[in-house]
Amino acid sequence: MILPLVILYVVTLVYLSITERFRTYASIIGLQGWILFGVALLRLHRIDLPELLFISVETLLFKTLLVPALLFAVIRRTHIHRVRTSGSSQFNALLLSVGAAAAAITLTAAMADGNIDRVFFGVALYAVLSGLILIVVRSRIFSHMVGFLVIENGVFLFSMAVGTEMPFLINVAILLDIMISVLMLGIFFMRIGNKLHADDADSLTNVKD
Amino acid sequence: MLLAYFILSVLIALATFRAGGRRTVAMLGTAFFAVQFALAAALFRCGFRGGAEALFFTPDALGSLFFVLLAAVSALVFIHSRDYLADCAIADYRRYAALQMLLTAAITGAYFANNVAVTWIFLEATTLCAAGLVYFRHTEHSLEAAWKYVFVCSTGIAVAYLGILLLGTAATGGSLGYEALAREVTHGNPLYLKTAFVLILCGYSCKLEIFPLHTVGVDANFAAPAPASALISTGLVNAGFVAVYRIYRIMMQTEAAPWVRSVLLLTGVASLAVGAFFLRRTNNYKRFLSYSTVENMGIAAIGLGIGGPGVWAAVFHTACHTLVKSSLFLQTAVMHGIYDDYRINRIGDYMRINRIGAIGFLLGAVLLLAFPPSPLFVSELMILGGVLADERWWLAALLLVLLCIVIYSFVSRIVRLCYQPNQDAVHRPAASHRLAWTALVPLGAALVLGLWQPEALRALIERIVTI
Amino acid sequence: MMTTSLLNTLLACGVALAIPGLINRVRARLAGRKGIRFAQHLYDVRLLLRKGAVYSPTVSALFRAAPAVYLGAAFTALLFIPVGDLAPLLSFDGDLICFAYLLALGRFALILAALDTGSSFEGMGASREALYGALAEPALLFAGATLALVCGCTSFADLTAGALFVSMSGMHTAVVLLLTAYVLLKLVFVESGRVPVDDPRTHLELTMIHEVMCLDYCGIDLAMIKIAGWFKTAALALLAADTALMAFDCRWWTAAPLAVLLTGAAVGVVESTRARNKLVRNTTFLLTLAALAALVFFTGYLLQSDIEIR
Repeated sequence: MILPLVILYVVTLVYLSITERFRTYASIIGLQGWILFGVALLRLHRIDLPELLFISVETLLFKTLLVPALLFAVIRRTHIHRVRTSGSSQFNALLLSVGAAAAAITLTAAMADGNIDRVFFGVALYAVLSGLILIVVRSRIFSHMVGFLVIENGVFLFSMAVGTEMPFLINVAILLDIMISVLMLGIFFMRIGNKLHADDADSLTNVKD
Repeated sequence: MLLAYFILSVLIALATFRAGGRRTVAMLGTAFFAVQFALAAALFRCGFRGGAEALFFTPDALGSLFFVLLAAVSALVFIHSRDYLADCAIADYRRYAALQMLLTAAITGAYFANNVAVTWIFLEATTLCAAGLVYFRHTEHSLEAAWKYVFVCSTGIAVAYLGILLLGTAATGGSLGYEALAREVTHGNPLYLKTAFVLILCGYSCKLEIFPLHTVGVDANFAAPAPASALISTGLVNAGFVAVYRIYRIMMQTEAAPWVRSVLLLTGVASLAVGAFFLRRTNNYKRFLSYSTVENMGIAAIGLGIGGPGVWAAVFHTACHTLVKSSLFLQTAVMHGIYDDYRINRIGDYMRINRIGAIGFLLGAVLLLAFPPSPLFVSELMILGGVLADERWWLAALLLVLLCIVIYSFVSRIVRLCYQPNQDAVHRPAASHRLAWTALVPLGAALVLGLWQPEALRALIERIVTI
Repeated sequence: MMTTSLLNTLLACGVALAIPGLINRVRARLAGRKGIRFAQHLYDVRLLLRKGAVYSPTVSALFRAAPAVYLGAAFTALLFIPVGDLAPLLSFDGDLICFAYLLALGRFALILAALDTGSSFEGMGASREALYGALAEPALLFAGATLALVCGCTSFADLTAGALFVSMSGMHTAVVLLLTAYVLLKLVFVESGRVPVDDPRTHLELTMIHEVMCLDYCGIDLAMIKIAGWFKTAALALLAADTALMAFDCRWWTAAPLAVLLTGAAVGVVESTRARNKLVRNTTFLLTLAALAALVFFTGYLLQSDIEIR
């Protein structure tokens, strides 16, 4: 049952690289939250109930509900809608994404070890690379934010692969989640929309030599 | 004892958020630093041997050494900030003081943590405090710098966390304490260890200010007030160094040791190259000093990568760099008070305007560039000796060429500051001379260390370095 | 043996002739019209066969030979495809690859002929067709690879005859096969130049892809090209239907009608409800298809290696 969820997660990652609207980004992040919630419930049934409850509630509350809600609110407030201001296609981003998938698969095959689940490792690596591609290739601040959230989801997925022995690690990953994504979204929401024009693609280039 | 220290520090910092006036802030500041120095004295009395352990914290030699430096620098920064921000609103000033105290406490937590995950949490906390300091002046530039800082540091920390997870899988036990890890990773899968180290190094490079994520440190120092830059570019950089060094020590006992050393060498040389390249290009004094930090941390990474005497040299280099760099940044604060500008091509004639400040700057530059009375000369000589002893001729040649470029850029800039005619009108507040004298204090300490390293210090670093 | 192969070929040709009619009928019904005769496309071809042809003085023998090559390649490709559990006329080990290459050969001939005319208009169409063909091939090959992985053989004939399934749980096999069928169905859209890749009804300069290459043909050449197009569509449609039915039970009396119905309905509905892609988005569309096919392949691979996630 976990494998279909993980496959669906990979499909969302591929879809992230070709989509053209910010609302789709927010929906995909929400969908990833639901998938991670499902994987958390299915995978961690071996650890004690209070921990499992805490992790599931946190995933549900933050990843699934709060973060997408904040993203949608930011889109509404700053009136930004399109990922790129020109109408050209996302071909290069998709090519990079497919290349990243190939790289993740190669790395996983090279690092085969019985210790951790190969599928989780490969998918988490692909998620981190995908998030990095989003940050590097896209020029708008909102896309960077979404890229960071994708990286976080990937790290969370990986922590579940190793976390059956050390639930403390998953708790720490959740801590990162709560603090940083809510904080950054909060900053974004309150300050950036007003001062830096969030729909201006080149607004972050003033601080340089 | 450590727990009491943390609780007191955080309480005092939180109280500063609601302080009434400047006198209250000054009193709270004195209380805070009294706590810091009390802890330093207690550690000194135990002989830095790690007594008084708390749950997640162990005051061992490494943490204690850097903590003493941090306390001294932080106190100086507090004193300087009082005059530097004399014309600020009280709301802003007390926020600045509180954030500085919180930053100091968070950095101390990162120094003393004995668990990989706890170090990680505290480094995360330092991001938040430092970002608050960077955004102090509420301008567009500082907002952009603060946003970049929070964003890139968080991404880096997330990547480092991935490395920590990999490290946790390679260690088969359940604990993440440094001693436990050091015992268990000897049987770990070397491929996991190598990947984990690369991820952790890349992630923490935003704190340590080396390649690849050094740019955030430069931008953050550019936007923060100059005394805060002194704290960020010494205390926080040392926190990054401590974190990476602890992981390095764990890795040194495993099969991944040669790989780890090569990665550190590569990163060090890249940072040195970046520093050398950008020192010539930049037009802003604070960015200039930040690139010099990047370059020095690159040298420290090269020292770690050489191994043997290089590790001793790296620790010594970082400790003395703290003293010299903080002094230079405090001098920059004085300079800003006079010129109100940081552009290299506009300001000059410092020698005539503020003689003691200019001498402080020149002396600091001489010490930073590792000319002989400088402690950095000792460490760089040891590193170069290690490189030559390993017969890495190309590396030695590259090092020398890059260091020459750095020396040239530095000296030409500083000489221009002191002697070129000034382009704009100048306002001269009276307080600046006194501050220039206080900024000489760490420089004096560095000078003394360069000429004579006390036996106690040698033994301490020896204890840090031996496994 | 011979009779089943002949039956297979006849069924395949029947499917080829039926699909365009069904597409037109579905489109008309969705638009609220009664629609043209079901066999109208056959009457159109009969009309074309009675016409003469005019050739421009700049063309060479290549131009005149290309439609024949195209038709021959398409028909030969159709001969490899089994309908349900019947044996195809031609089959050997590795004919999956041969099939892809035959389709490419036909496309190659047309592109050369288009370039032969010396018209920049047709050259533009040829370049677009070359690009989309290049991007669609990974998808076709990955789909073929998934089929080979699931069934453990490399010939179309062995796919359906005999159940050579490697041990997997039945549900997972079915899902992988259905997804492969979906990819193949999308490939039908690409190869036959349907919406959303290309609009077969438009004749405006900037929007044509496939139609542009055939602009200078008339008479029997154009008839050959049309018939070859039907054969290609039928080959891929039959492949999709076979793959979908392999998940359950594959017989020729279910495969042939399913191919017609599936393709006709899908193409009809999509042509009536969607607009053509912006040309710059076509490349993304095709690469997404290839990525999806690769993903299905890796899923099948994972399932086969019995990787368990507890």
